[in-house]
Amino acid sequence: MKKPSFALPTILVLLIASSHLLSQRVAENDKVKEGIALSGKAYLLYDSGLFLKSNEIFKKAYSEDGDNKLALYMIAYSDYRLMEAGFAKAEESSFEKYFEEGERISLELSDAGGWTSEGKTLLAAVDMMKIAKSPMSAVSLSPKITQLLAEAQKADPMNPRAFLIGGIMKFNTPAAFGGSHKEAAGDFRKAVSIFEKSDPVNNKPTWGYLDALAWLGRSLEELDDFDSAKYIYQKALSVEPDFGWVKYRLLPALEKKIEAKK
Amino acid sequence: MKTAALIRTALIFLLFAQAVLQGQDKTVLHGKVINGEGKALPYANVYLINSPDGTMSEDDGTFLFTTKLKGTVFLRASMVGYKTWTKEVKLGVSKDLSFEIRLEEKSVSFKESVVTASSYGSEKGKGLVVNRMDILTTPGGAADIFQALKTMPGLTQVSESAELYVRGGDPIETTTIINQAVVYHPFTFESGYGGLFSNINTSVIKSVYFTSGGFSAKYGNALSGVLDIETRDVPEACNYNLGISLANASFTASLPFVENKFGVYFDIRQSFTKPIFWLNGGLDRFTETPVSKNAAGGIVYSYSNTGRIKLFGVYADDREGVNVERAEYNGVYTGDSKNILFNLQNLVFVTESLQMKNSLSYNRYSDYWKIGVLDLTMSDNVSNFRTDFEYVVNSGTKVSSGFEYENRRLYYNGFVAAESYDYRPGADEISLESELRGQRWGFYSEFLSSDPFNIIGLSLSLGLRHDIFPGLKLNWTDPRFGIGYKFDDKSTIRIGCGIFHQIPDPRLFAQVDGNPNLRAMEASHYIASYDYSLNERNSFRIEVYHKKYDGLPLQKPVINYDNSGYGFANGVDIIFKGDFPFGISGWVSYGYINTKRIWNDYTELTNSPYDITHNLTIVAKYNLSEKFQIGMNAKYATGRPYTPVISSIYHPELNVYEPVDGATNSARFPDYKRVDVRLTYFDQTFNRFPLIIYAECLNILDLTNIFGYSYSPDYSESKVIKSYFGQRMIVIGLNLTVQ
Repeated sequence: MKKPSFALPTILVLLIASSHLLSQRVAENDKVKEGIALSGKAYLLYDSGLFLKSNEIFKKAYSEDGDNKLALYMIAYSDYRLMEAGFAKAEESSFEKYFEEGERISLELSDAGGWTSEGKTLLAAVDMMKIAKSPMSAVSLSPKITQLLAEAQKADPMNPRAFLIGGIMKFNTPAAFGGSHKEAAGDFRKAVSIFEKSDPVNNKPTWGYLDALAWLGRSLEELDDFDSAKYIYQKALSVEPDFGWVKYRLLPALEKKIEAKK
Repeated sequence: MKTAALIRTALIFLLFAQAVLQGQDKTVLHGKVINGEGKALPYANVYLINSPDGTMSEDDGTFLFTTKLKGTVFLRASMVGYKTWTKEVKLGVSKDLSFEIRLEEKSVSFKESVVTASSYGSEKGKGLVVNRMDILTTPGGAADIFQALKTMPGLTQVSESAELYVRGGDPIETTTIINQAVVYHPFTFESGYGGLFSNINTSVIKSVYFTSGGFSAKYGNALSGVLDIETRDVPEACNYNLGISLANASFTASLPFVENKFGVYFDIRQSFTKPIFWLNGGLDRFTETPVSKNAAGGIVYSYSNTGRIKLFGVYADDREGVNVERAEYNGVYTGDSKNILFNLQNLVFVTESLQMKNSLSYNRYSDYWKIGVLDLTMSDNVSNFRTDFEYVVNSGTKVSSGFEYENRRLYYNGFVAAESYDYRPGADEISLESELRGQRWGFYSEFLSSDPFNIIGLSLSLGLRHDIFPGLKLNWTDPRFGIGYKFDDKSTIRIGCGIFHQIPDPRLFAQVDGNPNLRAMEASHYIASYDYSLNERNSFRIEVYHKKYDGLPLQKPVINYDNSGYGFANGVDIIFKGDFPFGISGWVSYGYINTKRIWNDYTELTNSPYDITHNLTIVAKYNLSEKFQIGMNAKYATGRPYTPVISSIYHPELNVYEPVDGATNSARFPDYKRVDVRLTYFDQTFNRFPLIIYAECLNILDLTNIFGYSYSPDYSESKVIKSYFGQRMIVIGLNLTVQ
């Protein structure tokens, strides 16, 4: 009598299980994509409510798949945006909550394989928000941020977000303490150039291009190159016509300055 | 089958046609952006005005973008530091337009390359950086520029005063310049032992540049070093700062009335040292604890895009009464001084390439010293006018030139002791009324070149300086030379040499006890340095130097002084500044020097009083948390040479002993050691106003450092006089900024 073969049923079971897992992973990635689209919209409108919703989506996706590093990253990213969007209005406890969570996750990502550069860059961004809220913390945090960004750039010389955050630091640091609008413009230019030349990498962050254009425009304004600043703002709006910060604040203010100069 | 194939072919044709038609809507603009020398310019913006169509040039200067616009438009290229390029373009005629865009530099953007060795500055690109945060947070430095600079190599720890002893040189060999004007008395509590702190607070300063040798032809009448200070421009933001500590109270304000155009700032402070001596002991040393008033401020007006005018002023007033134990007499030293400085400076861009800076200043300093028979008033009035031109030929070549005029009047009036060993009231005295007047003219030209002869990384400076003292019938011409080579972004070597002249102490030209025919002192510098910058935060420098002195004044019978004195200083200075393990930041500086001279009353070539063989300073800061920082400043220096008293001669007619000195500078005080520690708390009150609270312990190990010795009346016994900070002292204070 022939022994029964278990090969075919085993293969079938494996196939069914892996396709189930695959569909789950696809579903989770779809959730993350949904969250990313929502946080993109939140950034254009500077809407803390939408950032909060996207934050919840990322947390849900991560709770269902603890290996989803992009979901984890996006939790910290939305913390950073929540601090940025509302630190002037937020209660101390809310700010501290976002800061602690953002810092903890960024630290974790900094040690995760393949996420060192993004993790350190995001950690630098989170610490930078702490300085924005409490300028005296610059004494201890500025050297730390400089070190983090140097390590991020060493880990990935083509990470545009490292140049972006470095530029924002140099823009906002007083000249007497080492800041420079000229150097900031150089960093933003590099960031823009990398964004424009590189293709997005699957399951990695993609944010920052609009930020880089807006900050480049601000730097050029500070350096009295109004025409170039205007071009950069218009370029940002050509990429994203609903970019609220440029559309309703930066470009109109610049046009007034240009008019006043005539 | 045939039908399917036909449909496929039609679809392909339609897609191709669409692509061609779409392509026909767009014009491609491409080309290259270069500078005046034909080199590629990356990251230049190239765009059509009033449209979002454009791009940035690549690393090789090339650019390419498309546009759907039609008709006449303007193509613009711009980059910071370069003149904007614009060209009218007709779109819609050709699908492909090519451009070679040559951007000309705005002339003021000379590619600065620090050729001068031995330099430190508060701005990037002006030597090793010592910024405002370094000055404010250096423990034991009292936020004083001079005290903070003393932690740098090249400056020897001869005393705890703020005076700068540069590579074996007397403090008078280092000149202090504020807004182009020479300032001879930048200190408070100036006594025979030097001033203790500067009367220029960091809050009024924009930039500081210090060089300890081989300096530019821009600076004259200085043998050893230059401290060049520029005061603030128009304040950027309105804020007020209140500071209070055991030793002083201060109020600072910055008031921008018209953004970037007109503003005012001021700093007023009152020091009162009684609380600090009461807390730490030492009150009994004083009949009047040192007090000082200090006010500094400026008005800045940028009257156009190319011109700015600054009016700056300082008023300083101090006094003290100190119990003094001398061999022959225990008495009270009373000192007070007043210092007023006014400076008017104008900066104007005559053309885009030519910058002119003018400065007119008046400084009146007076002091009064009294101890026993010594009762002396001194006043020093100085008027200065100076013009500096800078012409940027291109990004690699700059020519500087200028001239200055100085008129100085020194006046002494009073009584001095006839014998240096007898200051008792009623002792023999000499009446002194002496006025010394002099004028100085200085002229210089300097040529600076980056990448000369197309050698990338090479920089060169050649300068010539001529000074004239018409009243003294003295003049000299000094060549200065510097060469640097930058191997890469990290490594640079520099070599500097030059001749430097300076007139001796004006008192030595006196008719009666001096020599009106004295000539100038001379020093030759030879310096080589290597700088390594690991990154923005970490840098290392090692420097070797040889300084040769000639023409030093030497006491002689009959003619009182001649210029036969000479000397030398050889040494090496090392500094590492940046980040250390375990999150510590700061710097370690070490200097070795061997210096000897024969001058003044010396009888042989011997140790200079500034021969501090080893100087080591460690400044370290550590952030305990986001709000707390702990800092340490540890100093070690070889004890300074002094002339010991080996016996005495009794003068019965005067009932006083005269000390007999041993060989000049043949003994040394004990090595100098001191550790200061500071704990700083950073916070924001009401989430808005930055607050700093600090507690500092000077000389925390309570190590005895010697100021000098006092003697018994017959000089058979000596007693240590502790230095200013010769005992442990605790200071607490706070600073609050309202903005």
